[in-house]
Amino acid sequence: MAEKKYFTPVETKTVHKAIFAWEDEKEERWLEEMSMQGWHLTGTIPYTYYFQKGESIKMVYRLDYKLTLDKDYQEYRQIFTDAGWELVWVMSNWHYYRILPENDKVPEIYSDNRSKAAKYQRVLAFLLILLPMMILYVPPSPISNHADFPEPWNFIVFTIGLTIKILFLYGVIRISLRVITLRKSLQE
Amino acid sequence: MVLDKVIQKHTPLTESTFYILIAVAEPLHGYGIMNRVKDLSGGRVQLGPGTLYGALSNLQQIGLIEAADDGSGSERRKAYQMTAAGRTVAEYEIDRLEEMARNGRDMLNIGGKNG
Repeated sequence: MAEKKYFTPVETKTVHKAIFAWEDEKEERWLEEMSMQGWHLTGTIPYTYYFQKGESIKMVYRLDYKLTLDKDYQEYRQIFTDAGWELVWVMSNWHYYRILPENDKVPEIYSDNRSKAAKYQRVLAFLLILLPMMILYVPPSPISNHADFPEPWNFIVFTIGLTIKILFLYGVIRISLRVITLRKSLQE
Repeated sequence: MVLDKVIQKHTPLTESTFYILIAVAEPLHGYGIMNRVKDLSGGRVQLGPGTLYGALSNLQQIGLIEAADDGSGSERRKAYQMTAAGRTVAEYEIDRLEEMARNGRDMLNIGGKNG
């Protein structure tokens, strides 16, 4: 890490922030703003971002979605590395990349809408695998009864479960709309 | 013929895909493709790594390119090469693009090598 001059590990900072899967572009912009204030991402877990203080410089952040278990994963990583993108962190298949822009041009990991749509289709495919589990096992569940829990846990379990279900379905809808918009722009 | 179906299904190729396909007329690895496409287009087409990677997977899946040995002996960087089907599709696209360019020049009275 010593070769990266924007990366001087002295001060650290933890920020709690809820950013949902369908807000990846908003997340990219926020991470860029943080880098301009000298806070460079070191890692993230849900609702939590870790930064280290360094030079105040605009880094471009991009999030990609790629299954780490794919058999061509090494080849995927190599292409990004060769293109100059630093992989900062991976969290549940979301890859956090950053690059120092060389001139005025903003570097992009996707240079056309077709491949960008494919990224969101991969996210969607993963969410759809989880969908039956979400419907069946998260309360309010058609196969198990949350009312079996004693008061007030039945109500708490119901509320949390319902919130998760609604957020999940909302996420599926938002990401589907993104795919539709991107693919519409391709039609000739 | 099977190839007619391939042409029908996958053309017109996107600009990125066309450039990637012709870049591997000779064996080349990912980053080499990125640079060659940039050079060929005079810097106009700059492939993002995600776009390049996705196009390589697709082209391989539909059999227009295949893994090849680029002689570099690099284990980590996979090289690709156009298949016979890939060459046919590229030639089809070249004819189509030439027809478009020729007609465009004729209709707009622009001088060119065919005008």
